[in-house]
Formats: sequence, structure tokens, C-alpha cells
Amino acid sequence: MSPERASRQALPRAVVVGRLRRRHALPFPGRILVEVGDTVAPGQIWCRGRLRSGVVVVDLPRLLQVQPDEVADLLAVEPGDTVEAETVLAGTPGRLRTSRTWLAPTRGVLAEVNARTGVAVFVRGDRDTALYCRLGGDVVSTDPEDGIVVEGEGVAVAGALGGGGRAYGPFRFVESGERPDARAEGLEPGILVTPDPLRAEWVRRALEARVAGIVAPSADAEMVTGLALSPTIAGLAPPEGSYGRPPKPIVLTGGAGVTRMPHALQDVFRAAEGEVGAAIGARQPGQSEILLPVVAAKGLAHRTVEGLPVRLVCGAAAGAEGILLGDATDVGRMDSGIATRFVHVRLAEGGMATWPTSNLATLA
Amino acid sequence: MRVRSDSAERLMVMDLGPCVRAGIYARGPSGYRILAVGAAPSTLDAPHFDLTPAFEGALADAAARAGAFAFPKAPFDGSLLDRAPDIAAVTGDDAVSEPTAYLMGNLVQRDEDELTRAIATAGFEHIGHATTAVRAFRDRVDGPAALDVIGSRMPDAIVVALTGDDTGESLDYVADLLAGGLADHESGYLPRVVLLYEGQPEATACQRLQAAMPTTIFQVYGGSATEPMDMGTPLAALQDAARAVRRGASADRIVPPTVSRAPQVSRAAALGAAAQELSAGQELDVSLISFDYGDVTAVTVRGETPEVTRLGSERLQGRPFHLGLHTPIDRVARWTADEPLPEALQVFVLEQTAHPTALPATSSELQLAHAIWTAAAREALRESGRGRRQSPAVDLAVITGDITRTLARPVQAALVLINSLETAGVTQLALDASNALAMSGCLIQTGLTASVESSLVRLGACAALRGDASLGTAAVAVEVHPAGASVIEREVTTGSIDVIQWEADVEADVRIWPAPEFDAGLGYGRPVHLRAPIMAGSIGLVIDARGRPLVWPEAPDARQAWVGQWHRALNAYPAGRPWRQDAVHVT
Repeated sequence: MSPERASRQALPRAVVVGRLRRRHALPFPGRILVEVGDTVAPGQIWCRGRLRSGVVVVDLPRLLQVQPDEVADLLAVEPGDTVEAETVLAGTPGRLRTSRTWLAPTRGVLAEVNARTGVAVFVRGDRDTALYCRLGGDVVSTDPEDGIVVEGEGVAVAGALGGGGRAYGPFRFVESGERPDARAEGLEPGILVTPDPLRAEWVRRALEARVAGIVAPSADAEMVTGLALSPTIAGLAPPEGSYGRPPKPIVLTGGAGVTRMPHALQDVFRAAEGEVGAAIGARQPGQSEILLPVVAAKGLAHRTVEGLPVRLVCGAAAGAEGILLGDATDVGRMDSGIATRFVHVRLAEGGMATWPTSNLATLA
Repeated sequence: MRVRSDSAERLMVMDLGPCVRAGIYARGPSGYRILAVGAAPSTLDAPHFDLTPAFEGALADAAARAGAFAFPKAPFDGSLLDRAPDIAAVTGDDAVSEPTAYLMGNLVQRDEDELTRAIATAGFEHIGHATTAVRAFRDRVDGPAALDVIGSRMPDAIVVALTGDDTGESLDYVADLLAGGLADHESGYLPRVVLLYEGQPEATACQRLQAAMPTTIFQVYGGSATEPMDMGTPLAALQDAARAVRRGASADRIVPPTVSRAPQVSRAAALGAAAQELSAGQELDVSLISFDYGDVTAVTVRGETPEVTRLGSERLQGRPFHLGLHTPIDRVARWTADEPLPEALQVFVLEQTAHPTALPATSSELQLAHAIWTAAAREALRESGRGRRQSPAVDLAVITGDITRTLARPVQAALVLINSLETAGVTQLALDASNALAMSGCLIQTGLTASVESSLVRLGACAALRGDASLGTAAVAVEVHPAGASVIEREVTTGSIDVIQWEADVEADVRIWPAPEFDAGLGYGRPVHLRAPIMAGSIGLVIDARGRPLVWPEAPDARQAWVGQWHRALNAYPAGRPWRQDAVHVT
């Protein structure tokens, strides 16, 4: 039906089913463990390396006002030693706690001192780290400086807001009214999916159950700020006791508000129950997503028979879901007076609606 | 940069943002004119990361609007991708962002200037430097401080240029700083390093750098006080690095080859070119403001050189509508007739952040969107050093950008322009209805001739008064005499705004008699008789007697009442409905 095809191209899509391609960037020099042509699974390690935190570089000759070759004699600890905060690392004799003394800023290790230049590096922590595949499929390219690219069949669901990084593990759909800890207890950490807006109590229980990540349709503005999913507006302080950073990877498929997850999306996640996938909570708008194995597409099959499922993405009725029926040529302006295109939608809860195409997204 | 001759009948310019837009240009006697603009939601973000569907959607939309006129290539029933005109240029902040570079080294001033130019020529934005003209690099440059700057600005590339480093100490020092301070960092930040070294660099230091981060090393020649550095190798090295950074930045995304191969022009450069062309063509002082989802760009041309100011260019992750998050709420609230709660503002901004192409559904949301853009534009103009309290007098003010999608009434464009610029005297107002000025500027930047006026719609004019007086006292009397019609007289009181309308395409003679406390352009109390007649355009003549600089009552209620009165006087927004009612019509 050509009119619908034209409309569909003009609609943002929240779900993509089919062949996906995802670049896995190398954020540090590491050892790439896969080669072009390898088949990888979601959650499989593709790179190992080491990450340092709390790195402080100090030009000791400048700080101590000595020549580089004198630095070695002024070190109070040996490179490689672990020290407590405030420990004197180097200093001019007799001048302790003056500007000519270098104190450890935290507990950590004096990682290295270059004998020639006198430049020293202090590190709070140093740990092995691994990078995991977000998508199952074939490795189509590798670059030791850049990373790898994986292509494979799957289902990608766009995240409206997110944060906390990446989570890998089996999806567990927590039905309305079900306790998150009941679904996670005794099992390996997974990605919990709720069809309801996030509530503080739900998040607390989920975190106690050691989940890998959380997928929810929405959270109110206070929760969004409290979970550090958005920068605060000037004058709007984060709530008391809020998280400085997302406690776990969290992805909101709908965004800020109190909307429930559309049934079509619920079906996608239910179909992927127990299957391993990834949830990417990125602070950068447009970068958060959930990657599911292709089996999740079965959840959409019976919905798409009726037509193209769509949802309203913003406004008071945000989250409302329906089936796209076709262009509405007789309606031209929104309540705001803006002229735009409209479509007729059969609402999931019954009845018909006319929605502006700019404010909806397709779910298949 | 000239890419082609002016021979093609049709050319296309792509604008990549939250919407992918294809501007189709047709060749005419005065250069290329905009024929149609097709748009589709961008698919560069999740879940696609593939521009192809949006590109095809934009072409389909253009074809729906202009049909065979836009795509005259045969066969007419063939694929749009095959029939689409050549892409002359690509612009847009989403995909056309310049990689950034930070310069470290010991160069004589002459070579540093040359290298800085080479950095720009290679396509980098130069965002800082830690350099000295003295050979002893480490004695003159505070390395850890430079590292702090690099850590906060996160340049894509660090250019290290060292000369006369016979002992290798400077290189060792730089390797210590960069490998020790930036590599393996939990932030995940890993810049490329371009090392330009006079002489043979020490292998150990090079290996440390190469093991820590992507590093390319080049020997350079010259660089002494008497012998200038040969810039051939550095330029080639920097161009390679810029290409590598761009590849890395776009590797997540699939961009059709025809788009990725086309010359890229930054939006700021394109708008600058368009404003300059407009100014030269009309011999007017021009202000142009582009209100976009993640940025506001203001260009003012007085004379030859355009002054370009951007808000949001410094902000990482600042794509869509984050302007609302970065702007204190009272700066936004003062432009709305409703007092938005902080939470309501936050929800609105978050919704727009998550769904940048969504349109404001209610009048309240629309006012809020325009208020955010207005506050952002004023911030941009204030940051430019012109000062918000100074009233810039220009002959023509033009509004363009993503805001054009949200203009329900032409008078909203005028109001946003007037409030943003605080125009003074008589200013003509124009709307870039198809948001094509940046695309036309791209054509100019690539060496083609483009008719920038072809996308402009005449809005009318604004007569704004400098000065202040007691509220309610008579501020100005205006007489408009449209050709072939009777005279329209209007008196406007202090603190008010009003509009005189007459037939759109009819010229009118205008006389203005300001009160002694006000200046309409020729001095306080001096009457103005415009030498040239004014065309009514879409809205007519706005008489702004609010005074300059604009001041508001302290009390929020009084402030809202005042703004509400302005909106009613201009019939700017539909009657308000309860906050957050949506545009869903259930039948």
C-alpha cells in the first residue's frame, strides 16, 4: 500500500529487526581476541586490557625544584609501592608538608618514575578489564588501534534515555506487580525488564538482587535526575541521597514520564526471556539501545499481522500505543497550531486517534 | 574550495541532523535556487546507526514535493537514488563536526603560526596549545597543567612538534606525560598523537607512545630561527590524522557513499557565507539567527566580515535541546506567559532530548520551546561580547534553523527575532521558511553561485524604540499609508507592542513620531519618515514600544501578565489550554 510506505519512511523507528552492524570501539590499547570471520556471541569477550583510575602525573623536578637526576634520591617510596592517602611520596629533606613535597592524593601506587625526566605517575587503581560483544554475529573487521565491527541478525530497540554503561546477560521480564528480586534471586546477573515506570523501591530491590542492568519504559523527572540519567537543570538540585552516577546500566525506552511499556515492546522482551543480550545506557542522546537476539522478533510477529504498531513518544498521552491505519489528510494542525502530517491510529485500548507523525515512533 | 562548474541543472545539498534534509537546487540565471527540501527523521542514532533509510526518506519526501522537477534524470520510473542530483555539499552538526586538535611543542613563532594554519587546513579545530618558542620545552611548558587541559577538553588529536631536541629529553618528557597521563584511563579517552620531530626521534620514547595510544611519527625539516619548517610533511600527516579521526567517529554509523564523499561544510561557515551574500546582495547590515535543536548560531554582517557566534559548540553531548538544561529557568520563564515549573521544563527538555524531531503539541509547549531558543540566542549574543543590553541596529534580521518547523504563525518568527536581537530602530524581518539558508551557504562555500534570497519569506518590519518611560504613557504614534488605501494611524503606549497590518504585497509609506523619551532611530523625540516604503509581508509593521533595553517587572505574576499582553497584542500563540494537554483526537 504505497501511501503507508511513504508515511513509514517519515516515521522514526524505535525497533529494528534484521541484520545489524555494531562497531566495538577500543577505548584503550588492548589485546583483541577475535579475528575477522569469527563468530561471536553477545557477552563474549573480544578484548582484554588494563585500566587505571585516579591517574596523577607530576613533574617532580618542577615540583621539587631540583634537577631530574636528583629526583631518585628524593623519593620517599619505591615505584610499585602501595601507599595510603597523604603519604609523602617525594620531598626535599627537612621541608615536609611544604610545596616542595609530593603527597599521595589517595590510597594507591606510585606506578612509575622516569629516571631521565623525573616525571612520576601515581595511580589509585589498576585492574584487568575485558570488553564484551554487544551483538552476536560475525566479526567483519578488526583494527588493533580502533576495535572490531560485528554484523549479525538481531533486534535493536532504541533507548530514549540511558546511562551507566553496558550490561550483558540474559533478559528477565518482571511482570507488573512481580518483585524484581524474585526474578533475579539465585540466577546469574541478568538484565531486568519491567513494563512499568521505574519506582525507587523497585530499583532498590533490583539492585539488591545484583542485576546486570535495568530496562524500563520511563521514570519520572525526579527519578531520572536521581538516577543520574540527565544533567540537572540550573536551580534543580538532585534529590537527597540520589546517585552520583547510574548505579547500573539503565535504559528507558520511552523517556521521562510515567508511561508503561507498549505491548509490542513487552512482547519483544518476553520472547527474549532467558536469552543473552545487551543494554547500552549512554549519556549521549540517541546512543542508548537494547540489543536482543533475533528470537525476540517472534514477539512482534502476531502484532505486525494487524498492521504497523506505533506509539506516541511525547505529550500527555505519551506511551499510548496503536496500529497505524494510514494518512489522515483531513487534519492539519496540532493544538499548538503547528501544521504537520497526521495519521489515523487504532488504539490498543480501543477507539481511534489521530496522531501527528512527528510525535510517534514505529515499533516494528 | 571549488568542486564543480556551475553547469549541472540540478544539485543537492544534504543537511544531517535530527532530521536528514535534502535540498534540491535548480540552476537559474542568478545562480542556483532552492527548488524543494525533503526531510526524514535521522536514522544515525539507535536503533539504526545507518543513514541510508533517512537519506532515502528525504529523497522520497523531496520527490513528493517537487516530483519530476526535482529529479529530472531518466528513467523517470527508476530508483530515486539513481536519479538524485549530485550532492554538492553536506552540512549539519551531527555528522559534520570538525575533529579537534591540541598543539604541544617548541616552535619559533613563525613556525607555530604556520603549523596552526596547517592544523586548520587539514580540517581540525585548534582548541588549545602548550608551546614555547624556546628550545627547552620542559623548562617552559608546565606539562601536568597541559595534561589537565587535555583531559578536560579531550581533543581528538594531540599534535606534538619538537625541534632542536638533541638530547631527546623533550620527547621523553612528552612521552611521560601522554603515556603516563592519558593511556589506559578509565574515562576511555584515547587521542591520536601526531609527532612531528626534527631529527631522528629516540626509539624508546616512540615505542612508549605507540604502545599507549595511536601514534604516527614524522620527521620534519627546518624549524630553526633561520630556517623555516617545511610544512609539506606536517600538512600531509595532519590530513591523514583528520581522516583517521573522522573514520573513527563515523565507524559506528553507516553513511551512503554519495553522502560521505561529498565536501563537508560546517553549519557556521555555511551560515556565514549565506549572511555575507545576503548582505552584499541587498547592501544591508544583516543579522541572521539559526535556531537549531542543539545549537544557536548568530551571524551579523556589517561590512565585509561576518561575525559568527555559536552557543552550544563547546558542550560535549549537547545535541538536542540541551540548551534548556543549561539555561537558568528564569531566563526561559521570562519569555513565556505561563510560569513553567522547573519540573515541567525538565520533562519538556528531556522529551525533546530523547525525541528531537517531536513537535510541541500544545501552545504552552510551543511557547516554552520558543522561550528556550530565545534565551539561548540572547546568551549566544551576550557571549559574543556585543552585550545583551546593547541594541544592535541592523537593516534586516533573518530567522532560520530547526525552529522553522515549529512556527505555527509567522508572527512567532518575528517575535522570537525581535526578542532575541532586541532590535532597535526600523528593521526588516524575514523568515527562511524552508530552512535552506545553511544549504545555500554550502553552495557558496563550495564555489558555486546561489541565490540566497530564494528561500526567504518577507515577514514585514519592526519599529522598535530605545528609551524608557512610565508604563501606559504614550510612547509613539505611527502612520502607515499603504498605496491605494487609506491611512492607518496607531498610538502605542509605553511597555506595549502592537502590529499594523495591511495587504501583503502592497508598499506603504511609514512615519513615526516617538515621544521625547524614545528614539526611533534618528534621536530621542525625533520623528522618522522612512525614505523607502515598507512591504507588509506576512505580518505587517510591528511597533515595539517596550523600550530598550527590555526590562521586566520583578513579580512573576506581573511579568506573566505583561508577556501575555504582548502575545495577545500580536495574536502570537493560540489561546492557552491546560498545561500538557496533548494533540490526540479520539473519535
